[in-house]
Amino acid sequence: MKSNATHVHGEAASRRETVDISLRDVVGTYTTVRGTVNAVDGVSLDIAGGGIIGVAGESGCGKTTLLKLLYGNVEYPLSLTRGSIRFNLDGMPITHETIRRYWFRRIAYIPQSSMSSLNPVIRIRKQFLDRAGYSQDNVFQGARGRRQQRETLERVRQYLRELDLPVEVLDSFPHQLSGGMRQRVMVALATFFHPDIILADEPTTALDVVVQKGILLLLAEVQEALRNTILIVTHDMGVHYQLTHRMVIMYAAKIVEYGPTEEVFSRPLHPYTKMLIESLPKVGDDRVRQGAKGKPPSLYSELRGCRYAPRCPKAQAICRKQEPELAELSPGRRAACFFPEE
Amino acid sequence: MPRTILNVEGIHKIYSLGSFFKRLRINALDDVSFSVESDDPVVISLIGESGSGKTTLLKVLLRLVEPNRGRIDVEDRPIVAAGERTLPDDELLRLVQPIFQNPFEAFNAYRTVDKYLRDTAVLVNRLARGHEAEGAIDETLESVGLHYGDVVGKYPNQFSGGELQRVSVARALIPRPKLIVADEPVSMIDASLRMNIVNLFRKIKQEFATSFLYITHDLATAYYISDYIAILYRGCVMEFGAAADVLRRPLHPYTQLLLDSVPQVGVKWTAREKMSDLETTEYAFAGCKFANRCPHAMPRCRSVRPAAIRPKKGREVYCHLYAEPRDQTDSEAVGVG
Repeated sequence: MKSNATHVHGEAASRRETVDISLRDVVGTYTTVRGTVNAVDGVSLDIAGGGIIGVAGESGCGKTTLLKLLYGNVEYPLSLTRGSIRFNLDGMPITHETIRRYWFRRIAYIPQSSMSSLNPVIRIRKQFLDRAGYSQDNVFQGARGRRQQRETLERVRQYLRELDLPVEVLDSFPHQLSGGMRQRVMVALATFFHPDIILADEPTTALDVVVQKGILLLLAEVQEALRNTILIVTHDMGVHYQLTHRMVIMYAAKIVEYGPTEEVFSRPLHPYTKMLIESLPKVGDDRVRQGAKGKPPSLYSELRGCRYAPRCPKAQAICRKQEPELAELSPGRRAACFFPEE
Repeated sequence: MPRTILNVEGIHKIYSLGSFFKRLRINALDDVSFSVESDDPVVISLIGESGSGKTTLLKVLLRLVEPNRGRIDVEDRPIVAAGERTLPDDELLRLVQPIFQNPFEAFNAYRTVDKYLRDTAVLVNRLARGHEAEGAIDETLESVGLHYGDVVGKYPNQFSGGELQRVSVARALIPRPKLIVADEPVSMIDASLRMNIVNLFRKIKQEFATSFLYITHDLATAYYISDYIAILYRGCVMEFGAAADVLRRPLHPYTQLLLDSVPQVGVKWTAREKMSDLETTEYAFAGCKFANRCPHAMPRCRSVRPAAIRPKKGREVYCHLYAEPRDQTDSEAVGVG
């Protein structure tokens, strides 16, 4: 973003004080033909707002479900069967029941697949106006409505210029843009109202590394200018290292670790986190890497004790019987393990 | 004299889009050439963004797409060559076998996976149905860490992604091919299990003396298993050479950009580069296809296609930056011609 960004976002920046997210024993359940399955199973955590927070984990660990629950996008077959989710926006409490009133304007969402999220038969310009609340055609609006619409469009153009996007995209249909450009349009759409919280679900997974870098750094610039909270879900540990300030690691529907990203990478507490980091190959590193043994447990089965115990090299008898709490081991760092790494 | 494992020579493939009056021609492959000679089996990686032509090259190699020009030889046998007797289809399948990106799409969801294994053994390998075929299947499954009992009668949805990818590796191995082409074989697999598959490729390379053409956009795993690397951009080879050499000392500005963009743990990103907006026009560039985004672009880069420059043996870079003054006239002549 260019220097005039601070001017545009000045009012928004001063508005922001505290955004806190508090999860209390959250259970998210999917109803399937094989029975019910808890994709998020008893998650409790207080996350202080501000900065970029990453949610890491492998497929099936519940990270996308957690994001859906946070966004309040809870529809069949997903349901919030237990627990509560609360946001605190400048002292204003928002629960999962009232959250829909704050969608777009204060809480935004960036999905993974921009192709299936943008309406394929209307131009990008109209998609911006629809979000701004101009759902009707010009004919029914009168002179005042048309003027407001023109002004909004001018603000959209200015905002696109701030984000270094070509203004011509407004006149395109989604299929005329490349994948990277569509995803940048999604970022622009999601951040146009300067939301307090942006939830991003694997925003760059389908893209090439060069494009990915551009979009992630764009998100970081938006966060710096707006001083808001971004929650980003991705399985790519490299992305977490580059972008996030704090991170949450999930395994088999549970949070196993939470802490500042730098410390999580330099001194992981949970053996699962350690394994995730060590299994990454690197350019210029000739060591032989071993993949993880075993696989995550099926969430359909009855699970006892620590869910990582069957694959854990440090597992003891207690790990198989009792479930470890997500305990604060040092200021700001939490891990659910009986024998955390030193 | 070492064998030619894979020889790709001047492959052109043009896709036409649009109507008769407003035709858009995309040079999906624009004069792609590289050659690997070795006595030992090797892993050759093709690296590039989406739209770089890596999958098109794989399709040409499997004869699923016919190129406009050029030839390909595998193990000194012609696979694709205009006006020449090429290898018959059934022999091609015994020489080259594919592994695809998403195993759940590669296998029909309504068919048990052991049928695919048996079909490959019987139809490609010409084994008799029954004990002979099952013996070969069992032996191959062992080498990827599975048992016949684990897969028989099971549908694809009863496997995890990693297991099913092992099954597709086993299927490709049944005819004991000399070259396995793997199109993004680990991109659908979780990071912690990804290395299991990658290590499996290493093991197969040694045990079965099978070479791999590994197509990916993941530089880290490519560095880990490759012996040779070719970097593609918009249908052109940008750089080719020994993997460790290319990735540790990249010469082409595009390779340098790629390496800078990998989200590596330990090195933080700094600034944002210029992003490409106009992909369809880039395919049609007369000069270097990267000229529009290159920080070192010179006027010559836009008009003259850089020829291969060999700074040392087995290393090729297609960039005017490395042309010595006395070579300039040569490379220009080649570019214009």
